[in-house]
Amino acid sequence: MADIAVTRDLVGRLAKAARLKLTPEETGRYAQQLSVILDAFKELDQVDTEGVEPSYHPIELEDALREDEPEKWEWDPLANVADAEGRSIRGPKIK
Amino acid sequence: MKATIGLEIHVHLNTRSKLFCSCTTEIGDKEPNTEVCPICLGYPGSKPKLNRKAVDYGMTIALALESIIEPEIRFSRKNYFYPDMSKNFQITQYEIPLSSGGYLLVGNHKIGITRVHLEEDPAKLTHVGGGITNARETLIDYNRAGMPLVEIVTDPDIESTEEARAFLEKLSLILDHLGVYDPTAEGVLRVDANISIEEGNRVEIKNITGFRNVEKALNYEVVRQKSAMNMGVSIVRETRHFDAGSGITSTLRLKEEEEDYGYIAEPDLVKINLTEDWIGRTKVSMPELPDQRIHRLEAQYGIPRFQANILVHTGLQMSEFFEESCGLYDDHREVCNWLVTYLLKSLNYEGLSLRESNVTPETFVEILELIRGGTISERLAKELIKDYVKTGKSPRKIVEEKNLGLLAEDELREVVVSVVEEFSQAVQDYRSGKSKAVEYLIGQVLRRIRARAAANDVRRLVLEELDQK
Amino acid sequence: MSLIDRVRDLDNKYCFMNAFAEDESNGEGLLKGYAVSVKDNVCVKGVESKAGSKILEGYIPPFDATVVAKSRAEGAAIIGKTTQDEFGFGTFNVNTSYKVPLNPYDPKRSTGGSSGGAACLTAVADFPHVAISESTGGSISCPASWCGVVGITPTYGRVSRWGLIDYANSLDKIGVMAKTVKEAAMFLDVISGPDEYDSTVLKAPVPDFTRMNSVEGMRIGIPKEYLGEGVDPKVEEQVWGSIKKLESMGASISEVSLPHTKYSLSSYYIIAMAEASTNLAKFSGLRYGLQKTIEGDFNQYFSSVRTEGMGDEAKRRVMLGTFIRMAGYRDAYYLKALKVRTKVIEDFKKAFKNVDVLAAPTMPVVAPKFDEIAELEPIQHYMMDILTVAPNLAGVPMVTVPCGEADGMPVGLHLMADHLNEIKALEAAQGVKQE
Repeated sequence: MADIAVTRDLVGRLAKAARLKLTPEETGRYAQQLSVILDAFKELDQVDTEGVEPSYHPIELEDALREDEPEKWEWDPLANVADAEGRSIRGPKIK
Repeated sequence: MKATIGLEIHVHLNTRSKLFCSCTTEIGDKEPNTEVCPICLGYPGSKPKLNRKAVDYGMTIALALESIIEPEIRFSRKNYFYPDMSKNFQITQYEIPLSSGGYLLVGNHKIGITRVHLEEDPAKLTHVGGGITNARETLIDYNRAGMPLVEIVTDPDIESTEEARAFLEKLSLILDHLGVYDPTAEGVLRVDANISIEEGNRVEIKNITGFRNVEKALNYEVVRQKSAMNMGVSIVRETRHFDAGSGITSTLRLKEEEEDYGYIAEPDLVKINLTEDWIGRTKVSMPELPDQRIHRLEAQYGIPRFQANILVHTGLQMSEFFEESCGLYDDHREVCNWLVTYLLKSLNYEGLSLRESNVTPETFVEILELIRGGTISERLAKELIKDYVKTGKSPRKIVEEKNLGLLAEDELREVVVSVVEEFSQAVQDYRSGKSKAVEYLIGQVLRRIRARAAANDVRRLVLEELDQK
Repeated sequence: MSLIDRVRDLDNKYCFMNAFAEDESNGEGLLKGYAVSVKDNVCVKGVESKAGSKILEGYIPPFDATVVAKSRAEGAAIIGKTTQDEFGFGTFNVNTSYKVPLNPYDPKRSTGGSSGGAACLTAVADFPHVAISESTGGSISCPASWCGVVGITPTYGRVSRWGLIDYANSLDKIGVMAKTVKEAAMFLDVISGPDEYDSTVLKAPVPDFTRMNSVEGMRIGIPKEYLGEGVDPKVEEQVWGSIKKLESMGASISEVSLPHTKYSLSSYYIIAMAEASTNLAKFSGLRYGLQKTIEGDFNQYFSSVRTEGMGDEAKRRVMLGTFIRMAGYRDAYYLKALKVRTKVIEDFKKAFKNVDVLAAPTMPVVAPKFDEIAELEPIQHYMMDILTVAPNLAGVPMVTVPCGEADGMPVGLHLMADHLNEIKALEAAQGVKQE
C-alpha cells in the first residue's frame, strides 16, 4: 500500500462519495483518525499473498439457485413510506 | 469518414419472476409499487436469491452469440446513489461475467461481443413538472426494480450508424428466436452507445430505446462531432442523453464527474458453477436460430432462398405462420407466394403486424382453397386479401356475404348475352372484320362482373355468342 | 408482577432494551416458558427494529427474521429488541444515540459490544431467558464474556441471516447467549438450519448441539499469539485455571501457533468496512426509516438524511469503506485483505488437524470503565478486538464461557473449533462450567 496522505481534501471527496456533509471541524478530525487507521492497515504488506486466492466467504459456498416461480408478498409496501403520491413514492429531483 | 461505435444492449428477459426475488415480471400495466417485495425494495434484512432460469436464458444468449461461457461466475455490487436504486448499489457482474469472446456477423463483418452478463434493472422514475434536468420532483415506481437484464457489450467494431442499426436488427431477431424476451413489451431493449469520430474523444449516449432512435441519436452525434471538429473545437469525453422528441443529444454529465463504482463481490450471493453438463443441456435445448431456420425452410418446403429470408426476417410469428399454414395446405410454394407477396403487403399497408391483425393460418389457407376450388379468381383473391387483413374475417364468409364467387357458366352467359345485345355497334364492328372489337366487349363484361370470372372464360363465351349470331 | 413489568423494571436499572415487544408465547415447543430477547439488528415483525441507529428510527419490519420465526414456532415469547452499537460498529456499546447498557457487575463499566444489551439482560434476567445475538468481529463473545454469560457464535452459514440488518455480510453470524451452556446449545438447535431465503446458509445437516460428551480425550490447543503481552495477567490466570481444570478432566493440552493473528485485525476491518459501506448506502431517506421533507436534488436530500441519521463511528466506517473500494486502492486494500483472510483460515485449518478445540482468553482485559473508554481513539477501540477477530474472520464456531473473575469482573474463556464442529467447543465449555 502506498503512503496515503489523508488530507482534508480526500476526506471531503470520501464524504461526498458517501453522501455525508461534514463540518470543517469534523473534516479535520476524520482526516487525522483515518490517517492513523489506514496507516495501521499497511501491516498487511508484510504478508506474502503471492498465488493466494481471495476468500469472499470464510467457507466454500456455491450454487444457491431459486426456481422461476412467481410468488406474491401480501403486504403494504407503502406502510413505511412517509411521502407517497397515490401509489408512487415521492423522491427528490435529479438536478 | 471513420466512426468507431460500440454498443451496450440491455435486454429484459421474460422469466416469470425477477432476478433476485420471486416477484412477477408481468408488471405491464400494474399500479405502481404493487409487484414488489422487501428484496426488490431494498429493505434492511432482505437478501437476494438468484433465479436459475435467468442463468439459463443468459447462457442461451451467450451461446447464440458464439461466446465462451465462464465455468464459475460471481456477482458484484456496483455502487452509486440514484433515486431509482433500491439499495444504492446494483447487483451485476463486474469481474467474472457469464461469458466473453463472442461475435455476431453483420454481412461479412464480425462484430465482437466483449461480454454477456446478468444484472438487475432499477426502478422507473417519472419526472414531475419537467424533464430529467428540470423536473421539480420524482415519482418512483419499483415494480421494475429487480427485473432480470442481460447486458450484451460489443467491441468498438461497428463502423457506421447503418451498421449499428443492422446489428441491432439482427440481434433482436436472434433474441426473438431464442424466446428469451418479449419484443412487444415496453422498453425491453435499451441501448447505450459509445461513438467517436476519427480518433476523437469517445462520447457515450445513454438509455436509448428502440433501433430507430439509436440510429437517429448516432446520426445526430456524427453531425455534431463532425461540425465541432470542422470548427476546431475538440470533443469532450462525456455522457449524453438522447431526447427522442427533439432528436438531439445533450450533456448529462462529464466523465470527470463520474462516480467511482467501488466494486466489491456481492457477499450475499455465492459462486455458481456453470458446468459442462449445464452448458451441454442449454446447447441441446437451444431454439433454432434465424440463419438455421432460413436454410431449413428452403430445404423442407422447397421455397426460394429470398422468400425464406423474408419470412424469417419479418419475425418469428411470420415463419411460424408459414409453417402452420403449410400444415393445412399442400402447395407450399403457393402458400409462400401468397404470404410473402400479398398478405405481407396488405399488412404493411394497414400498418399492422401479423400479431396485431386477426389473421390465422386456418383462415388464410381458405383463400388458396377458394382459388383452387374455382370459387374465386386469382384477381379477386388479391382484392379479397385486403378486406381479410383489415377484418380478420373468414374469406369464405366474405365471399358469401359480398357475393364474390365465380359465376356459373349460365350466369356468365346471361351477362355476355346482355352485353352483346347492348353494344351492337361493337358487334357490327366485329362482323365487319375489326377483331379488336372483341376486346372491347370482353372488357365490358369484365367490368360488369368485377372479376367473378376468368378472363379466358369470358373471351370464350363472347366469341361463342358472336359466332352464334 | 408480569414478565414484561419485570423486564421493564430491570431495564430501568440497566438500560438494555431499545423497544419492547410484549409477545405472548404461543405455547408448545423447546422454548415453552422462555422469554427471548432479540438484538436490535434482527428484524421482528411489527416491532421497531433499528440496529441502534437513528437512520432506521421508526422502521417497523413487515416480516420476522427467520431466527425469530423459528423461535416463535418453538413457543418463545419475544420480549423486545436489545440495544447495541449502531449497526454493530463497536466493542463497548457506546456508539449509539440510544441506550448504553450498564455492566451488571459494575454500572460504571461497559457491558461490551456490540451486543451489549443482549449480554446485560442475559446476566440479570431472573426468569427463563435466551438472547438472539449477532457477531461480526466478536460482538457475541466480547459482551458475553464481560457480563459473565455464555455466548455461542456458530459457524458462518449455520444460521440464516434473513432478516438481519447487515453490517458485513461475509462476516455476520447470528448466535445466542444464555446463562448456561445447555440452554445456549438448545437455543442454537432451534435457530440453526437451512433457509431458502438466504443464499449463504450451509446445506450441511445440523447436529443436536445438546448432545455433549465429556472432554475426556479432547485435544486442546493454546494459540501462543493469544497470551502474554497485551493480555492482563489476572485474566490470563483465570483462563489457565480453567484450562488446567479441563486437563484434569482428561483433556490434553498443547501449544499451537496461528501465525497470521496479528494481521487479522486489519484484514477484518478492511473487509468489514468495505462491505458495511455498501450495506449502509440504502439508508438515504426513501422507502422506510428516517425520511425528511423532500427538498433539493437527490444528492442534497440523501446527504441531509444520512448526515443526520448516522453516528460518528458509522460515518467513519462508511468513509473508510468507500476509500478501500476506490479504484486504485481496491487491489491494495480490499483484495489484499481477502487474500490475508485465506491465510488466517489456513492457520485455523492447520491447527485443527492436530487439536479439537483452541482455548484462549476471550478478551485481553476485563470490562473497562466508561471514562477510560471516553479517552480512547477509534483505533484503540478496534484493537480491543484482537482476540476475537481472527476466528470471526475465519468463520469458525466459538463459545465463550465464564471461567472466573479478575478484580471482581467476569473473565471469559474462548473455545474455538473447526467449521461445523460447534459441538466440540460446547463440550469444552460444558466441562468448564460444569452445570
